[in-house]
Amino acid sequence: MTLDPATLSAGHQFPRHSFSVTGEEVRQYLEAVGDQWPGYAQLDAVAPPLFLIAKGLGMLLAAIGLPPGSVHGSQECEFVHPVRPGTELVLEAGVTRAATRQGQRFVTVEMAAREDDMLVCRGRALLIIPGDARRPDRSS
Amino acid sequence: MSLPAVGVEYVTSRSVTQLQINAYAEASGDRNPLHVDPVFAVSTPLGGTVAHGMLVLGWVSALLTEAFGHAWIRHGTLRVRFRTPARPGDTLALRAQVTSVDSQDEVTKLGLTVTATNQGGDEVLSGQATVAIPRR
Repeated sequence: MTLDPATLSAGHQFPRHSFSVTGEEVRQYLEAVGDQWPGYAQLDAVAPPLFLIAKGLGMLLAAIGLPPGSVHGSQECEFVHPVRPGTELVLEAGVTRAATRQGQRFVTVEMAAREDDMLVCRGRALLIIPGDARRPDRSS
Repeated sequence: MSLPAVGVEYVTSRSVTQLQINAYAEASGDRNPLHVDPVFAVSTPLGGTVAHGMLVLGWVSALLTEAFGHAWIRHGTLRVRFRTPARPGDTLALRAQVTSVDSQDEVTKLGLTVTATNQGGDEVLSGQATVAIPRR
């Protein structure tokens, strides 16, 4: 079940979500992006840092259920600690700003991924949602 | 690694294909039909499918990984705006240019501008990056 994006407001907290970083996911991401940095192929390789942000954002977008016409307006990322495949992470995320301007909903979502209590990375995304959007009739 | 001077530029290019967009949708879990369903996307104001902004940002991050290796992975930041959609058939020029070099006690912090520009000269994304390189 997805959230109604029209009701998202500052202070909304998404449920904490635990997930693991698998080698297969990392391989799939590197192939999709075409990232061939040799360091990722080493035995003690770490995951590409943007993969963690992309995975976290993907989970949030799935939870929100953005309607068609939604736009990813901006993105900030901070990489703090490298992660190796097999690591268990916890994703915490919430809405820090939400406003309606010119018929569109501007929603800022901040997220942080932690390994135990150690911050691994954090991100901030601005999502621009059509103002007349109701629950989507297609997955988004 | 030797430190770059202000003005040094890292450049690469990428061709946008629907196959690559589809692969990214599977890898990221973002299967918005605007990205992967040409029949649906043609009926939207965008008039066709577009690449995920995070895919283009992934190319920028890959460029910075190639330039700075583990320093980027351990101590990198990005701050960008997505300005124009990237579409299948586009060729993007990706650039990262050093704008500041700040040597501190234990690290040298680089500031960079990052851009992705399509073949028509439109900015697909633009913003800033920083990377902290440990001093040895």
